[in-house]
Amino acid sequence: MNNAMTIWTMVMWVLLPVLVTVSVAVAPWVTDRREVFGVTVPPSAFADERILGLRRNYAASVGCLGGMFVLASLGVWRGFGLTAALWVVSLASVLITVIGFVRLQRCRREVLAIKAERGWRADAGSRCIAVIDGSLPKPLSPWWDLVYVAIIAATVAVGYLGYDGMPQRVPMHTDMAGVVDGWADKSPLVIWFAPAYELVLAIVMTIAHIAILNAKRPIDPRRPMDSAWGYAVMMRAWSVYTLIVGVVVTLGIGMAVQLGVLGLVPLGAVGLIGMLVAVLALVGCLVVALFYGQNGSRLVERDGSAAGEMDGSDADDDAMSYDDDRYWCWGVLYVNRDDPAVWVPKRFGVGWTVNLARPSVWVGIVALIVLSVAGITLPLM
Amino acid sequence: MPMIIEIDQSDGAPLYEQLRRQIVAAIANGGLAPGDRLPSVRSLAVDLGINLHTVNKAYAMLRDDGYITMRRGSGAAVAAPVMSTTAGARRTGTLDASDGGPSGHVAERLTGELHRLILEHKALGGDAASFLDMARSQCERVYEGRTGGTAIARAGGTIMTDTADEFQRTVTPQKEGRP
Repeated sequence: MNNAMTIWTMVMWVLLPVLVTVSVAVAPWVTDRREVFGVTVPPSAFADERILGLRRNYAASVGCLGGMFVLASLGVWRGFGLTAALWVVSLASVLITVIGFVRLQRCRREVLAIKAERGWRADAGSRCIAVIDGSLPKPLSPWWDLVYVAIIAATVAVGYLGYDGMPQRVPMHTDMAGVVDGWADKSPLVIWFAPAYELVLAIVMTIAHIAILNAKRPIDPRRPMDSAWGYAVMMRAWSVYTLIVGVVVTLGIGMAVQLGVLGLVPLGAVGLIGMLVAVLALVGCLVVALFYGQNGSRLVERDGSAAGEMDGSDADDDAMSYDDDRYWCWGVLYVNRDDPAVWVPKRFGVGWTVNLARPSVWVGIVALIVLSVAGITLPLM
Repeated sequence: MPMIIEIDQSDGAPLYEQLRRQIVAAIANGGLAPGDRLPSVRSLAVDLGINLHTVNKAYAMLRDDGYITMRRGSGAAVAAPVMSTTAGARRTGTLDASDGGPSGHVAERLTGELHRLILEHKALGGDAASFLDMARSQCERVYEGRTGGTAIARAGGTIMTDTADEFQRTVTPQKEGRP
């Protein structure tokens, strides 16, 4: 593998833990204003001094650890070569997430203590609120996901068109450094490898899209119209992002693999394209998350007083209209038997998570595990 | 037109009744116009975090009374007002002979509830004149009070509180055309 590709590979791979660190560290700032470190709080809490300190603390510790991992992997690269470095980088990305979770728990316990001290409690009765508004922006319709059918068809077509040019020994697998270490014999079946991968991806992205459409829409009782609007805008943005990323990944990686299998593109380059796509997707995710915030909360804070629902008295507002803490295990896992929703917005971070009390979710999780295991073990047989 | 539905778990009235009343009030106040689509049973239940059966029951009651229509595929929509003209009367074919009154089923229920209210009033020593005064002022509130201006319809469970006025003070009309 030539020098330029080596450097590119390392740069791409190092960006991974960097991006993971940034997205973990930035979480307290993109969360909905009604929740801090996975705890329901009144409006006055968000600007509270102690909680601000907790946020900074959290970001600093995650950032430092992430930085250390990045430096360590660079050091490993110098001392032990590319493959070892890439292993460290992959491990680092996982560890940063784990460390983020641990720090979250510590901060969460502190917020719970502050909450008890200050006597933040929800007034009696829980208000459930929904907004019916046909003029709000709508997310992309599921019909858009049919584009994946076109992509899969195109990939199959390319496979058949280029079949004659396929080498007798088809490179199928590379190690971490991009050196080919697995081959298959030429056969028409090989052409279906890439489309099968694209199909799985298309299914996952379509499910994600549908999840966004069916998710519970949380409305802030203090400012129903603003929060409904903010959520609708964010929902649309994520539905667009999901489609774009889905198309780029399916087309980019699927087609690249197909071309690699046909011998038109070196397989090492395919790996690089894959990494580039992954990095772009992560960067895009961060940008959307930072711009809109969870539930569109950052957008609403910036532009949101149009409905006249905010009068700037947040800092003194100690009243909570509801308290969801009992449904959120560790602040991140939602379990609520009385809630018919399957998908609900995450409490800490941006995006959606599942209601673990619903049986359909258990089925889905089991299916996911089975598929993942199959996906890893079957090619090895 | 934007409409807020609010369910209070600690309120005395059952959830389906709260839901039904709010939708009826929204239709009365113009927040929901004939033809407006209501959210699907599932999506409203999911958003409010309540059981699907509760929403189903509310929708079923509304449909039985003629406030909404429910069609397979297109879901729930606000029905054309039965009371408006004799043309409406001909369409439903379930009216009493007099004028464009509500469908017989709803008329029965409204009459029954009115009767009960008058009994309660009389049992406390009230006379017919004071009851009619109350009725008149509430009519004025509904028919002349809360129409134009706000595009937001919101109603609590009863008509005897001032929650609607309170709401007017704290929430101003939504600005036209968001960025």
